[in-house]
Amino acid sequence: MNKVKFFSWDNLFATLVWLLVLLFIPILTNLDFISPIQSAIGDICPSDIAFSKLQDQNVIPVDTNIVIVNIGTLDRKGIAAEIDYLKQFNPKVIGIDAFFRKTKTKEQDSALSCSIQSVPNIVLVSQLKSYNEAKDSFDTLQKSNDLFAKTTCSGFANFALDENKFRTVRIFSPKERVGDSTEYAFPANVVKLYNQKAFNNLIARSKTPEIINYRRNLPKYFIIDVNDIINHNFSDSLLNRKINGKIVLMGYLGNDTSKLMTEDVFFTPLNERFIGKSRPDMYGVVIHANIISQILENKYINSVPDKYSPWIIILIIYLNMFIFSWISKKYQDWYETFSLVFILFQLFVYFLLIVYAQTILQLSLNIDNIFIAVLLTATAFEIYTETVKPFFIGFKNKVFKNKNNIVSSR
Amino acid sequence: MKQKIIDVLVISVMVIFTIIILPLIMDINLLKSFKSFFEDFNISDIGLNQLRETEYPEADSNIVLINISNIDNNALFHLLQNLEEYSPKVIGLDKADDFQSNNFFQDTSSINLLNYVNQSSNIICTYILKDYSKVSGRMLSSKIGYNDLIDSVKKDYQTVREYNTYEKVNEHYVYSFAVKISENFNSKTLEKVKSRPESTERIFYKGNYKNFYSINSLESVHDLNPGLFKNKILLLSATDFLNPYKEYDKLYFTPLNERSVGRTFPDMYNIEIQANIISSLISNNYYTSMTKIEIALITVIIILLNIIIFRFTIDNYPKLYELISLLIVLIQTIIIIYLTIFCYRHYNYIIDLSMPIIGTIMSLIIFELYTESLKPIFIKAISKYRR
Repeated sequence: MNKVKFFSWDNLFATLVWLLVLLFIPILTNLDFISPIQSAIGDICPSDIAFSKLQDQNVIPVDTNIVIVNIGTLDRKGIAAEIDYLKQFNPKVIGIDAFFRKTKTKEQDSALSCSIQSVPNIVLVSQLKSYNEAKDSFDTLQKSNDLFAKTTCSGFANFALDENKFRTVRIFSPKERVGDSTEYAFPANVVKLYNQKAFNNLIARSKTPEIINYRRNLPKYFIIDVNDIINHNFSDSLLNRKINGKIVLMGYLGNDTSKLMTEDVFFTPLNERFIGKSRPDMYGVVIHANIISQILENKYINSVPDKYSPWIIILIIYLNMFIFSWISKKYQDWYETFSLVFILFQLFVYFLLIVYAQTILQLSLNIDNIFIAVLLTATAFEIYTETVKPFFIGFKNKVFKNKNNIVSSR
Repeated sequence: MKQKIIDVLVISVMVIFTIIILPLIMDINLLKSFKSFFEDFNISDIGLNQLRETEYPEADSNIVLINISNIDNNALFHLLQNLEEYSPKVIGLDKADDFQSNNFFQDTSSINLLNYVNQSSNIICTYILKDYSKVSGRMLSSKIGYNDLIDSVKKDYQTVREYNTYEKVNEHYVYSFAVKISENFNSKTLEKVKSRPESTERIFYKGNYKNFYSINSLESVHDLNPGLFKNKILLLSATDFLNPYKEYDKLYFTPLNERSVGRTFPDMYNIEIQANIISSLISNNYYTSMTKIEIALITVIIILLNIIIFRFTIDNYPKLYELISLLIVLIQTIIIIYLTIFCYRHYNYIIDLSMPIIGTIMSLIIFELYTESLKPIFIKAISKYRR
């Protein structure tokens, strides 16, 4: 009588009730005054903790392959002066994370154009626009004006931003289709010119999107500020050592690096606060630098494919239903206490699993929704066993009783 | 019956105990982000930005914001002279960073400016509370008001909702910049401020610089209609509202932020918040708050009521109990959230009902835990022991 089977209709129906409860949640979160709370909770990504809390920053070395140069609010002539100054130290590639769409004054444009043309390996940024869902490609690719872009190659600098997650960057796309052609990402093209083998590895993975393996912020790169160039704060020999044969990334790091500005700055998993309001922690150009470091170091984060994650979650829920069913039949008095402790224990275990899988195995389990799913299991189980099932049994008995009455009356 | 009353009381005590220890659990290092999130979370912020846009398209015509960034002290001295010719009621000068600096007084133009401010009858300057002794030595105490809003650490993750009208410094009370400005504009304001029960007031936000009259470029001051300044409050600050390159540390989170919860950028400069405070002071817009005792009382009543309803349902409709109890918790939570927003917006009444919401949820969990598990286990253990 009290035998509990792993495969049983009860466990299956309880899982179905859980699914129904889950479907009910969007109705609630669509209420005007609840949706902001939902979007705040949506910001949470447990694996962020692997980056922000468990990475020992003391162990991570400075990436000497990349030098980041701040362009601040310099005009085109100023940027040209920076390029001219940097090129004497023979960088292998210069990536400029700035757009030069329209022409300005002749003096400004010709200075920048001459500087860009005088350096062999320059990568400029482009921008993908108008995603065509039917074709799974972008219709438009915006590049800098031909005056600057004709002798350079370009890569798109779009970050994969979820409009519900305010300026939070967790992933990047190595390549995208634009019409019939393929456009590579800005960091991918920088790597292509620097280390073809690393670029080939990236392309061979054929994974879109890639999870960015954030390991470094400003202190882990050699930074040259606007004033450092103007005031010659670094000796030529030092700069030669740092820049010769390396990647130079030029981009905006604030008007000067000491002050955080609201322009081109983002939230990343390295942020010390993983929920709610916080200071943005990384400029766009540093995110590009992290992607480049990741490609060069071949430190990719693999992930369980999207198509498997719902099935993993359903399996876990079914297992929960089986355990609840077993406990409620074998140790009825202990069920409430056990279910509460078991749910809390599971939340803790899944949290550890997600975080440590990412830290140790470099694997994203892709089951961030498991927390809300597990929280609802006991409720769904109890609704099924104490309301739905008795109701159906009562209904069934009533129907059979009526049938028997009809048969006996005949 | 007696047993049922004992059950209700035991469960209520357990719920209240859980509510008390929850914040302590949040102190665990890994959960600190959650703690600061919940500390900052305020239901009444939700949707306030959209409401204020329609409610106050022109927040206050008595206040004019003037950007004085990129002008030196000599130009500022002349600007003040020019503005005073237009008979403003009061001029607020936000130079808190400069007036406490020793370097500021090294040239004659700065000294001229300081003397002019001290001699003027209607100029009030800002300072930061920690610099009080330094600034008060240089300027008359009637000429200064502090503009501190929030602790510099909390500023990174908390919304500015409140301000202090006065503070105690070196055994005597000093008033805030906004109170000083408002007092100069309307002498009755100070009486009202003094009559309020607390020094901490909730800010009645009406809008940002777009909702006040703001002049972002100095040249345009001379071209404007003098009537624009007559009998007005002019707030001068080195704040370039239109510059897209905003210095993050000069900005604050306010309830008018386009995203009331979660990740966002701060949205207002100090002077914009001061304008809102001044506006609320001169137009007598105050919020009334529910006291902590009242909130605790409501929480206890809700918990007791819930437990009684759960008990009644489980005794009379055991098959429907799970569904009904869940619906009760859901509906109660939605009603509490709605009530909070409604009272805040329509009656300027602040009811922080986050504790009753937690109480509602916990009452269900602990009721089931007690009636279906702890109590039967306890009874069995006792009877076993007696045998």
